[in-house]
Amino acid sequence: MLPSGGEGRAYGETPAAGTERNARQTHNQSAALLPPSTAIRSRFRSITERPPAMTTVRGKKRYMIDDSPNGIGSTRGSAYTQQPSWLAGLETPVRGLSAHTGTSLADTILQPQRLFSYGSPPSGPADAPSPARSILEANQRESEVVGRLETLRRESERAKFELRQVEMERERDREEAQRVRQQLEADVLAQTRRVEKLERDRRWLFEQEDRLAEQRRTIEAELTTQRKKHQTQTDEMSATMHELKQRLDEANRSLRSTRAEHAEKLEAQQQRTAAAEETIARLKAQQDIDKGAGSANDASLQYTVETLKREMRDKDQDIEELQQKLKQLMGSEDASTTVSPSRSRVAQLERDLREQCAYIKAIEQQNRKLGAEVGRLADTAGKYEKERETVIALQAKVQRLEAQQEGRAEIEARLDAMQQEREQWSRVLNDGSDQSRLDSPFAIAKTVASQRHTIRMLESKVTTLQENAESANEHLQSTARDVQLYRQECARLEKEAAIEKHRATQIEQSKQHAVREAEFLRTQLHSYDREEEELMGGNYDRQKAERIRQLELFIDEQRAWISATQPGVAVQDGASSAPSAGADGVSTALLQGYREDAESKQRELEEVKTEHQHLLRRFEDLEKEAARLEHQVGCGLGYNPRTTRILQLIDNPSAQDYAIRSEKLKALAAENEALLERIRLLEKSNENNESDGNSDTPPDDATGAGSAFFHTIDNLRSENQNLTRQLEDSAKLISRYKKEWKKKAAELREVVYLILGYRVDFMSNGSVRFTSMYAAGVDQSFVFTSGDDDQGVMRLSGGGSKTYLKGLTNDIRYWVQERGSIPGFLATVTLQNFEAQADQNSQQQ
Amino acid sequence: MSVQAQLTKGKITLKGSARIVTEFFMYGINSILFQRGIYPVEEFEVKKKYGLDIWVSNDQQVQKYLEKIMQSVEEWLSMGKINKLVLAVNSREARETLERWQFDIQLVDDEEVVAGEKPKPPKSEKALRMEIQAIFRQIAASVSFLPIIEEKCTFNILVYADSDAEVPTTWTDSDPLHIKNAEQVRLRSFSTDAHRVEAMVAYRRDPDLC
Repeated sequence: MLPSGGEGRAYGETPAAGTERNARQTHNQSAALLPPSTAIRSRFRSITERPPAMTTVRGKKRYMIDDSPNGIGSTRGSAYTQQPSWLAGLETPVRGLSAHTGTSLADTILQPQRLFSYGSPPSGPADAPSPARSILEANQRESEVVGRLETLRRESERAKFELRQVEMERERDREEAQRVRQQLEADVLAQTRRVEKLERDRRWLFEQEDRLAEQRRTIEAELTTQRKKHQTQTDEMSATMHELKQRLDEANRSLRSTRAEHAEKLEAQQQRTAAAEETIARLKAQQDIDKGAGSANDASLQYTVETLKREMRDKDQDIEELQQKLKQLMGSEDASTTVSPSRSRVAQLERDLREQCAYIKAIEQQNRKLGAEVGRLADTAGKYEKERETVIALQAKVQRLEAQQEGRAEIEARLDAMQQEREQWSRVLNDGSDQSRLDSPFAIAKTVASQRHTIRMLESKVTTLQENAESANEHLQSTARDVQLYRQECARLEKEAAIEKHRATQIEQSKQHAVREAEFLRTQLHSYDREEEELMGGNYDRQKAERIRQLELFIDEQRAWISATQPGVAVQDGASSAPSAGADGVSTALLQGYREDAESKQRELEEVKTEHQHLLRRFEDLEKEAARLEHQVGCGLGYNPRTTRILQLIDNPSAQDYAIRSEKLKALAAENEALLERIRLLEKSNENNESDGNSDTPPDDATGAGSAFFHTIDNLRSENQNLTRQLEDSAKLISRYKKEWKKKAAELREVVYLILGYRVDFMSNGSVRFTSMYAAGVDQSFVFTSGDDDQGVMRLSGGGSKTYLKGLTNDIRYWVQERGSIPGFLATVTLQNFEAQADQNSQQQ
Repeated sequence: MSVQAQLTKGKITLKGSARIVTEFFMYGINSILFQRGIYPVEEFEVKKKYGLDIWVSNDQQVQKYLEKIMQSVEEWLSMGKINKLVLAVNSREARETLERWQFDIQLVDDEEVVAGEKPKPPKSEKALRMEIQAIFRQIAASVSFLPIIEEKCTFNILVYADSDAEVPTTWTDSDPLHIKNAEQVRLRSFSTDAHRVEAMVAYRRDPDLC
């Protein structure tokens, strides 16, 4: 069995590595059977063939990096933490060596058996290593330590370089992130400015729209007022027209009546004239006959006079004078029945008749003149009215035209302004890359919304990038911390390396010293051998000498092997340091993969977000469409006439109302038409009268007047029906009010009875009867009458019975007369009655 | 009584549901006519229905008109030939439609029960009454947001029936009496086991508020 100390410590075995040690023990056990050189070689092989400490599983590595910002450091730390223990393992034998070298050389010389610790024959005390072996091992360890220190230095330099690279990369990333952030901020600022400008423009447009709407409203209000004004003017004008028409009608009527009167007078005068002429002719003939026949013709004259009398009786009062004269004439003719008519009377009669004829002619002439004047005046009035209407119409037209012209000028100015504005807008909106049509407020609003959306997306992107930058910063900071740690570690290692270097120098010196000493000892040993060979003769231990020689050969061989294996150790150290470099490369690759993965995820996220936005927009569109369709359905427009019929009952309230109204309207239209027809007829007859001159007869329009009259009656009847209906409604309303009032009054009385304890009865003479709730009988009541002039003063005027009132005289005097408090009196009575009733009840019980 | 009997027996039949819906229309229309002041208050009287005081017209002509309509509506409902009933409030002077109270009627499909699941339990009378109560309360509350009717108005009832429905001679086709520049508010709904009625009111937007 080999000793447990030397070999295990020589190759840096950590005591905690249980499984590895077990394997190694097995290996050592198997190596124990081999020669030392073979065992050392196999041990070296096991070290060189040791699997790298760091696995390159991408997922696990990424997880470590993901989970902690110090992931790389931790892996590196784990790689490095192995080294100190490994170095500690290395350190121990060196220290042992130094301790050993610290001992006196004589001790090592005096203990030569230690040189033969490995492979020594079992016969000698070869358990302790020999000094040469120890020196060799120390040399070997020193060379290994130096090699490892070199390796560590190289590693630290490489780590520094990589650290610098990582720092530069981080710096570049940071600058890139900063630049992107600045660019995005500038974009956001520009977009915000643009949005603000668009907002301002939109606000300005809204204000313009509001202003225009206000103007439109004002114009509409003015138009309404103007319309109302015109309406009132039209109404006034129509009223004036109506009045004028009535006056004209009256004037026409009076004219017609005057004409008729004049015509009647004229006719009467003509008849009278004709009759008088006839009478004159008869009288002349009779006079001629009288000349011959004498009184034989008196009978015929009498007949003529009677005829005249009969005719003259029908004449008007205006020509009473003529009647008187005729009467006189009749009287004279009566007288002439008895005596023959004298020539003077006939002459007087003729003269009178002539005067009458002249008078009639004058009247006719005057009448004609007046008729012509009336016609001329009527024409003038008509023309004047027409001219006035024309002037009013023209004035209205001119006003309308002026207003329209002003409105047109305003609209044109507004249109120009709007066109300029639109051009500006189109220029503004077509400036950017968005060349979509923006010719409507909706499109502008949509563009603004999309720009907002873009800004929001950019903001979210900026936020994401800021977060990424922050995480990168954090990562950078953690990396810097790691770098700091590495630097500290490097410094420590450099310090240790310096110590080790110093120690190595010492070891080198001691090695050289030991080599010299070994050479010296060897020469001394040779001298001993020669001396022993010479002195001891046959007793010389050739076997021992041979053994020594073999051992020297072995040492030479070992030296050669050590010198041969040093490059291998260096290679091994390089290989042992390679995993860490490889690990760094792997971590960088992992980081790169993570970045790519994150970028692809980011891209996917962006796509999903875009899809989400698209779906949201589609959802909004669909919602709008649904709202529009629902609105249509609500308005009554949305139905399919092929599958659905809209039905209504023929006899429905709207149709009834419409029928009533249309019937009323028709009746009014018919009445109006009839009245217009009547006016037209009257005007026509008037014109005919004027053109016919004397033939002034009123038109025979009895049927027209009758129909208008009937229409009016019908309309009045329907109006009467409406009024009756209204009256019925009013009666219903009044009855409901009465009912409600009675209900409320009863409620009030009940409330007063329940709360104040008195039943209130309003009597027909205006007085009020109060009967207590606790009264023993019906006659125990009080009657109150209002004071003079109903000024709100009540006084006690009586009661149900005089005896009852007499019983309360004291209370009445005390409360009512002295203190003037009816409520106090009533309350006292209530209490008394209550107590009396309570006593009575208790007695009954 | 028959409706009560049907309710207590279990699930409401189509005919019973048609009767319930018709009764709802009758009282609903009366309530709208009262709340919107189409006729004076004197022509209404209070009746207890659905646990509420509902104002019902006592005008013979109006009652006769509504009964005529409801007779046909019940028939169409029991045959599933009606999908909408609209009460249109029209101005007398301008003859424009000011309000449209629309009741959408849908047949409840019973065959949608998935195999293995329990069939839907019949609706209780109380639940139905509560739903109808909610609609009546909304009708009463709608006065607060609907524009005040300042002109004299009349009303008309339209029925959106299927084109293959049998139409009595007392009925005629009508235009939809749509509202120009309208706004609308959806009211609550109620459903029997056979019908689902959704209420909605559309009204002309006040031009002064635009």
